[in-house]
Order: sequence, then C-alpha cells, then structure tokens
Amino acid sequence: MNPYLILRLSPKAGDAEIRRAYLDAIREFPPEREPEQFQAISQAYEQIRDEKSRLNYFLFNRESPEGTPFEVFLKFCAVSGRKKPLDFEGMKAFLRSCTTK
Amino acid sequence: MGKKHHKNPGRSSEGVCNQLEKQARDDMAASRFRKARDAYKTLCKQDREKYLPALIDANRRLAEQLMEKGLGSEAQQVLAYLATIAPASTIIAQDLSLGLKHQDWQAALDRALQLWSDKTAALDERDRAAVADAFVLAFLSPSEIGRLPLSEASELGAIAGALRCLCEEQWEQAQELLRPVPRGSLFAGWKILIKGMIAFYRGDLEKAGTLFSQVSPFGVPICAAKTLLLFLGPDHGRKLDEPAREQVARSACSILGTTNLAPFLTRADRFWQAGRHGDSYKEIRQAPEFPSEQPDLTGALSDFYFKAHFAMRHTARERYLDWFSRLAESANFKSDAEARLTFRLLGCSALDTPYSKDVEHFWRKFLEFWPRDDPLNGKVASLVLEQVGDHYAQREEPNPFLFEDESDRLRDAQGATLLLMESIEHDPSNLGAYLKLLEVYGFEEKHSDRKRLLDRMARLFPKEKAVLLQAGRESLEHKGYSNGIQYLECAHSLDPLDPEVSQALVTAYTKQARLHYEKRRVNKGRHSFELAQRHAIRERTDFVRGLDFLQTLQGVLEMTFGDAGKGSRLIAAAREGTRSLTALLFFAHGYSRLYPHKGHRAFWEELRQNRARVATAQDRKELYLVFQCVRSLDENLDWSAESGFVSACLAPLSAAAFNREEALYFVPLLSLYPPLDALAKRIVSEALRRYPGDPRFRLYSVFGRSPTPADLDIAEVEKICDDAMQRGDTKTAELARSAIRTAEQYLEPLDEEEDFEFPREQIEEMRRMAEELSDTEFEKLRKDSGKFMPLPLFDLIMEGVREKSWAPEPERRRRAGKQTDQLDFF
Repeated sequence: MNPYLILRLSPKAGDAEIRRAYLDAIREFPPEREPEQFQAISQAYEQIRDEKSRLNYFLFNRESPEGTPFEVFLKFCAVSGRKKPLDFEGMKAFLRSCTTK
Repeated sequence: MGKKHHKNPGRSSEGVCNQLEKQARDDMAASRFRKARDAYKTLCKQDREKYLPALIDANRRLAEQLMEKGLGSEAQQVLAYLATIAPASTIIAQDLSLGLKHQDWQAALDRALQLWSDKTAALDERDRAAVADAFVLAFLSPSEIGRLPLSEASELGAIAGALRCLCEEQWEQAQELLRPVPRGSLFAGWKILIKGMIAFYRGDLEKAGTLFSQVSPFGVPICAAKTLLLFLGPDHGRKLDEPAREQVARSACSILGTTNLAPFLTRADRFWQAGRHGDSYKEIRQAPEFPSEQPDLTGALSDFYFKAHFAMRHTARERYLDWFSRLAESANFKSDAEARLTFRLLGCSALDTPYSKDVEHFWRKFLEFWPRDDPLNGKVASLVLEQVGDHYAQREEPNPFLFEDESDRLRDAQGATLLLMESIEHDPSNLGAYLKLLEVYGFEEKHSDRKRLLDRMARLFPKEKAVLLQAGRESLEHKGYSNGIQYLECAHSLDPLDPEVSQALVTAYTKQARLHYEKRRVNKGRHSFELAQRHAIRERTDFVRGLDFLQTLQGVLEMTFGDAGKGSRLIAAAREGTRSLTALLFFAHGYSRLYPHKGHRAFWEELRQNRARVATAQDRKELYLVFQCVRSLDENLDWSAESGFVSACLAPLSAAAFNREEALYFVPLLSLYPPLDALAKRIVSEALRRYPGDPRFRLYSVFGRSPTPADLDIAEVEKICDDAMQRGDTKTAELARSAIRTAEQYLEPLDEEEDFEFPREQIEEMRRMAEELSDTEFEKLRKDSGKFMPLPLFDLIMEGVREKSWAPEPERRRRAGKQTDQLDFF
C-alpha cells in the first residue's frame, strides 16, 4: 500500500511533516495493540523518510498491490476513510448517491 | 385398484403451478424479472387474486431494470402495462421510485406526500422506505418541514437536524435529537443509520458495525450502511453481489471525492477478473483524472495498474507489457503523467531483463516527461541514470556448468561508466553513483581512474562511512597501510559496531604488522598486533578477527623474525583459547609456508597426526575454509600436499559420513578446484546411491558428464527440471533451466543464413575482423556487440577465433575467499 496513504500525507510532504505524521500514526496504532498496522506504518515511514528514499520509492518501487482493481478500492476505503464526517454538502451528495441511477 | 393409476388432472395442474411459482420466485431473486413477469402472467391465469401482487412487483422491478440499462421506451411499455393491472397507489409508488433513481428530488417528494396521504394505499416495506428516503433526501429546511402536511414532520425534522449535527461532530446533540423518533417510525431506518454513523465517526467501530447490520434491507440507509462498512475493512465489500458492488462503489467514491471514477471502476474490475488486463486499463483510463500520482483513490488505482505486472505470471505479464509498449510506440498518451508512468513501468521491467536493449531508452523517455521546472529534476535524473548504470554494471549471467556463482565480466562496463558519470554530473551529491562507478573502475582494473575518483569522494564526503571504508581498502590494496588505517579508524569512529569496518581494520593492522616483522621492525609489528587485537573476537571461529588466529599469526612471525619464546607462548595461548584446533594448526601451517623456518614443520606434523579429529560437518567446513584462506596467501606455492590432506579429511563425506545438506554445500565448491574435483564426483555418486531420484544430484551428475554445454543431455535435464518442479525444488529447477538455456544457445546452428538474426556474411566478417584485433580491441568489440546481441551469443560466434574458455580456470573459478570469515553450520 502507498506509504503516503498509510501516513495520510500529501506527496509534497517534507521530512518534518512525514516525521510528524509517522509519530502521530504510531501513537494511534501502538505495536502492542495494533501490531500489523504498526508494522505497515513503520515500513511506510522507512520508504519515504528522506528525499532520496522518497524519490527511490517513486521511481523504482516494485511492490505490486495484490488482487483486482476492486480489491484495491476496498483496501483504499479501509485505510483512508474514517477520519472525520463529511461536511453537510458532502453528506448530502453521499446520501443522494445511495439511490441507484 | 385401477383408480390408483388414473391420472388426476386437478392435482397435475396444481403441481405445474407450484413448479412455475418456484421458478418465478427464483427468477425474481436472481433479478431475471422478465422471466419472472412471464411466469406470474401465466400463474395469474390460474389464480389472479393470489398472483396479481407478484405480477405487479415483477413488472415494477423489470421497469426499473430497463431504466437502469437505458432502455427507456421498453420501460415505458412495461409501465403502461403496469397501469392496466395495478392500483393507482402502486403507480405512484413506482413514480416515486423512479424519481429517486433519477435524482429528481422535488418529484420524489411530491409523490411521497401523495402516497403517504393516501390512507387506502397498501404500502409494502420497500415503498415505505422510498417514502422516507424522498422526505429526507429533499433536505428541506426546518421551516419547509414545518409547512409539510405530514404528521411525522417532527420526526423528519429530528432526522434532518441529527444529520447536520453529525456533520458538525456534535455527537450528543445528534443523539438527543434522535431520541424521540420511535422504533416503528417511518424514519426508523434513518435513525439507526445516523446512530451507526455517530459510532463510526467516534471510532466505536464495533457498535457501528452492529447498528449498520440492523438497518432494514430497503432504501438509502442500507446502501449508506453497506458503503460505510467498506471503511471498516475490505471483508465487508468482498461479500457483496455485483449490483451492490456497483452501488457501494458509487457511494464510496462520493465519500472519497472521486465520483467520476465510479462508473469505470466496476467495469474495469470485471475485465481484470476475466484476465483482460489491457482492456481493464483501457476502461479505467477513461476516468477523467486517471492516471494520477496523488495519494487518493485514483492514485492508488494508478499505482496498482502500473505495478501489477510485477506480480503477474509470465504470459499475462508479457501481454500486459505489450499493451503498454504499443501505447509507448504510438505516443498517444492521455497526459504527461500517463507517459511517465508508462515509461517507468517499461523501464522497471527492462531492468529485470539482463540483456534488455531498451532499458536506457525507456528511462531517458521517462526523464523527458518529468516536469522541467521541478526543483528535483537533477536528483531524479541522477537516480535514474545511476540505476541504469548499475544495470549495465551487473556481472554477466554465470555459467552453471562451471558451478559459477559470478561471472568475470560486466554486462556493459563502458555504458555503465558513461551513465554513472552522467548521473554524478546531474547530482554531484549522489553518493550511490560514485560508489558504483568506483566498483566499475575496480572491476575493470582502471586503477588510476579509481584512485582519482576516490580522492574526490574523500574530499566531498569526509563523513561517509562507505567512502572511508572504500578509501581505506584502496590504500591497503596499494600497501598504503598508514593512510588506509587512518581512513578506517575514521569510519570506525562513525560506526563502532560495523563488523565490515572492524574486519578491514584488523586486516590493515595485520598486514602492517607483517610488513614490520618482515623488515625486522619487531616492536612496531607488536604494536600493530596490539591495535589489531582491540577489534578481535573470541566467540566464534574467524580467520581474520579471531583472537586465537591473530595470536597464531603473531606467534609464527615472532618465531621467524623476533623472539621464538614469545612466539611459542603466543601459539600456546592461541591453542588454549581456540574453538577449532585443526583449523588453527592448518592456519599456522599455511603462514609458516610463507616464512620457512625449521620450527614450523611441527604444525604440519601435528596436523597430520590430528586428522582423525576432523570428524564432524563443522570440522570439515572449517578445515575447507581455512584451506581456501591459506591457499589464497600465495597461489604460486605448491599446495598439493594440503589438497591431499583436505581430500582425505572430506573423503568420509563420499561414504559413511554422507549428509545431504553438507554434500550440497561441498559439491559445487570442490568442483571448482581440479585437485578436489574427483572427490566431488565421488560425493555425487554416493548421493545418487542413497537418493537415486534426487534432482539436484542428478543434475550435478549430468554436469559432471558434460565437458561443454554442447555435450549436455537436454532431454535428461528437462526431465530433472520437471521432477524438481514436482517436488517443489525450485532452486534445482532454475539451475536446470539455466543450463538448458546455455546449452541451447551453444547448440544453435552457425551455418544458417540468419544466425541470431545476423546474416552469415556479417558473422564471418566479424570472425575475420576479430582474428586481426589485439586483445584490447577485441574486448572493445565484444562490449560494443553487447548492445545488439547477448554476450554469450557473441562468445559462441567467436568460438575458435577468441576463446571465452569453457575449460576450468582455477584463478577465475576461485570464490575469492568469501566464506573465510563467516561460518554457518548445517
């Protein structure tokens, strides 16, 4: 999984922002409670911790996400979505999208 | 009795009806509404009162299905028919449903009011859910809600208010608002959904999951609940059927702010699942923002499509790459991002192919599409060129027939040098490129270039351990021990725990000490040994850093050049502390061969007397490694007596002491060294006697019978490969395949018109030209040829003109003492 996604960062994030996001993430998912998440977070941090790692990750990383496009979508939902509620307009759009066209 | 066999028409008709009804129900469940409608029509002829509601329902579902497929006129026909059989309230309910589906909120609200105020209308659960949805999704203001002619207006107001509070993270207020909404309310489903959402966003995921599972199966709340469940884990999405997947994909994309992606996602997924990977990409690339390098859903899917080939099987991978190659050739890219990602995909794939002709081309095209105003431009170019340079700087594929694990040639040393230099030009702070270039210079024996580069590196990177280590080693190579030690001590101060630096330091001090002793500067030699011993280890057998081995070496030097008594004491101390007496004696004997002295013969004698102590796998491995170590001290000495001793010590391995793992370790090693080759063959025979079907030993046996690749029995090796695959022995299978590849290249006929796609005249011309070239010129020709043909083929073409010898060359085959300091026992 994309390390920026795991650490909830923009690809333009710099060293300090990445470090902060990493520390926040390991506080949220400590190893004794969420060992798998913790491992994923640590691995993600290692992949983008400094400029050279970030460029190397972008240019040459070969970790292929498993499954199918829908699986990727499901995994993306699972790691990205539960931050905070949508604003009212977003909520309106979401609920209205739940009626089939 | 006859009556029993008489057919009963009534009962038979009932049976047919039951069967048809069951079939109709199945069709409804499987969304085959047209078939279900036809079945109910027939059933209505039998019992109109009983089957009319089902016929109406089938027609409603069919009309909706046709609408969804865009078959409007057919849907209208169904609706027209529906109007003839269904009560007015059903038609209104149908219009309400269509209003929701078409997102015509005002029409839906009007129909909902009409339907809800009709007290005669018999609404099923689905219709009630649609009415509630229409009221909520109109998102009326509190005053508008107050004006509605609706007895449940206060409940609707509570739902609308709770949704607003939810969005503003006012959890308590939202729950307070929901409390008065009763369980049997029209809006009960919405109440549960909102409560679930509150739990969801507050992080109480278990409660959220429970509440979402309690939502009734119709209308917007269940769809919203299913969508939010996706965010609790991918398993919730895996259980969904096809229509539900489409629905939740659309809703989830709405949450994720990528609404445009949803219509393409499920279609692309279907293509992917059918193995049509290229078509899947074609479908998804129609999404407006695809591909993307952002960390959003589009970016995650782009990442998937542009890396999926790394996990594909061979044929599928080739087809997929072919699709992108065609896209690259056509240059018909949708955006610069697509061009970049395509060339990255092709470039990475070419990096995995040893003799790819296109690797540099793909990466240079990649760089063309990199934004010119990006401040990272230079660094990106430098890293890319470093990677391609490194690809050229890899050793050629080893030859399995010689048990090679490394070839003695680089794929394209000249290309690597140029690219790595270009990489450094783009980013003079790219240490990786310097280190690789240094390696290439070293490999190509360009000593002055290497030294110049190393000096530059030492100036540029005075605090880089890797540079200091390299500089230290380089100085040692040229006998500049003091300089080398300075560099290495600096590296050691940067990382005192790095064993590589410590080992290099011990080597440096030991070499310096030897020089001092040899020049009769005994005190200085002793001082160097003292410094070496600061980095010594005691806990394992180590011919470089082991304290016992350092004491032994110093002992031998003292006995030769200094104080014989001190030498004896040092050796006595070493014997006392050693973990392996035979290895220590062999080591002492090896060094004593360099410094002939009358007292030294004793080591050899004692070693011979202790041969029986070499009894375990560990003893044998240590003995062999120390033999490799001492032999490397001076290749010109005659080591035949020592070879004989080693052979005798390892001989039990070909008989009673046979151990499969140990045999697998020794056979390739012994086969590299002609004096021990016969022993390797005996071990293989013993292995095959014990395990006749063992693929690896069968393969080694075939190698042993094949002096050149042309002599390889390919059919037999293919069979061994199949057997190995069946047993899950992938390493042996790969070894077999590699041997077959080499043999097939070797066996390709040279007398055809288009050998290797080159005309015979051209091949002859090359051979004639090669005959007249000097060694240096020939090597240059070989390197240049590597750009348009695999180098093994070049060697085959040149066979007889210039040898890339198949014959064993002990010097080339030697494993450079790699295992001399690290022992891992079986």
